Amino acid sequence: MKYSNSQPPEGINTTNEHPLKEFLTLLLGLIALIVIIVTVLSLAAGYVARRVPFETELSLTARYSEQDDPSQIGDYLQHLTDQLVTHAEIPQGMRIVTHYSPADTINAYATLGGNLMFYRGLLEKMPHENALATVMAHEIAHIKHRDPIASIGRVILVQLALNALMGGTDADMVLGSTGLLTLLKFNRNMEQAADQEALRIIQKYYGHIGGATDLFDILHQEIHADSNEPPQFLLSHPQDKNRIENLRQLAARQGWQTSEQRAALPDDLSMWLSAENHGDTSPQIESP
Amino acid sequence: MLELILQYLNLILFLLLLLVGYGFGRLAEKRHYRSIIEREKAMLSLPAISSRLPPVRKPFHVQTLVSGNVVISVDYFKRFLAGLRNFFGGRVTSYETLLDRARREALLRMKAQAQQLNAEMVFNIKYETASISKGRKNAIGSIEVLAYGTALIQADRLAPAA
Repeated sequence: MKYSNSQPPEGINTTNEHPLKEFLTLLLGLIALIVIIVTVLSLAAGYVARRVPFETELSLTARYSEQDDPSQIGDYLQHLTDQLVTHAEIPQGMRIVTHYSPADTINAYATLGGNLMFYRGLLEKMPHENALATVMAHEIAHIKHRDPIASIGRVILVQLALNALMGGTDADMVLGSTGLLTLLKFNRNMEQAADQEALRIIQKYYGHIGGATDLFDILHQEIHADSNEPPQFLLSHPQDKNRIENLRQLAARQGWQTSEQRAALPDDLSMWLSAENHGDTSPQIESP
Repeated sequence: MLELILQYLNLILFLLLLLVGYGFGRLAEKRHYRSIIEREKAMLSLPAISSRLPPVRKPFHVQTLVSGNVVISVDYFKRFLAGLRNFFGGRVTSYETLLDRARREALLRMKAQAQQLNAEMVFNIKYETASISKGRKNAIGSIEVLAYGTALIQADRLAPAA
């Protein structure tokens, strides 16, 4: 009896399919899966987070909040906030505190615990009080709608889910970092709802909506004038043509009038701004 | 431009690794298969069988252990592809070729050793496999395959090396 081996046939233990084909199929499948998961979770998280009691949000942020040094500009901002809040119909037990930072950043934002932050850089651009009040009403509306906690709840939940999903693979490096960047801001619907609420507050406070969108025009002109990078404020509050147009339509529907009347900013504001600055552009370190 | 590159450095580095892994891995695999098939054909005359005892009792023969082992590293592309497979299940084809190459190469090396000893055949062949990067999660893994068997050598043809 003669024993011999024969050459093994190819393609049984391995496949002849091109690896790039498999790679593309799997990658697209994974991206689709992540898009679905992120969408579902962010909707769910937004829904749940808005139902977290405001006291809980306060207790979460209590350990981070520090008392500002009393200042004239802080008093003025807080006073204006309190005035606007009376028209905002915010839920009971919600208190909105406005902070001032002497940094150059052209920005203002609303964050957890009912806190608003205004930077000197933005205040210096304000043509009149109506424009300032519009921005402030917009940020108040974010707090009223519970956007900060919804946004952060979203980021946390989605991040947790992605970590659980991608735990041990390299895929998290690619997809984990790209998918989340957009969630750190308020989304377009939140911005639009805040815009509409802001306009409503302004209408109630001044009796007209004149000058409400002046700040946007000023900031936009600046971009075109010197092609520097756009102010932070426009990055965190992205403008598209529709946005201003939507507000115009809303005003028309509601029968809100514009007017040439503008409330002046306090005479001393520019003095306060330069005095508080001390020529120092670094963020002020608050005393404990 | 430079700012953009720095911002996405992670992603760019990753794509580069993937590309390098794909290019070199594919090249190496093609060359390896070509060499494997060529050598397999050349060594067909030396039978290698898995039965525990030699098929025919052969007096005046010497029996000796022969073995061949190989370590092959997975490339970045294969590893990423296998990672993607983790989500959906199914054949991990990128590792299948790797193991197929390793098994065949190990057997070829074992046969080469037997051939040097002027063996007539190798029986009782077994495979062992090991991952030599166990426990190191993010290190690129390698596999080892060891093939060993008993070579049957006619006593008067025994090569001096044995």
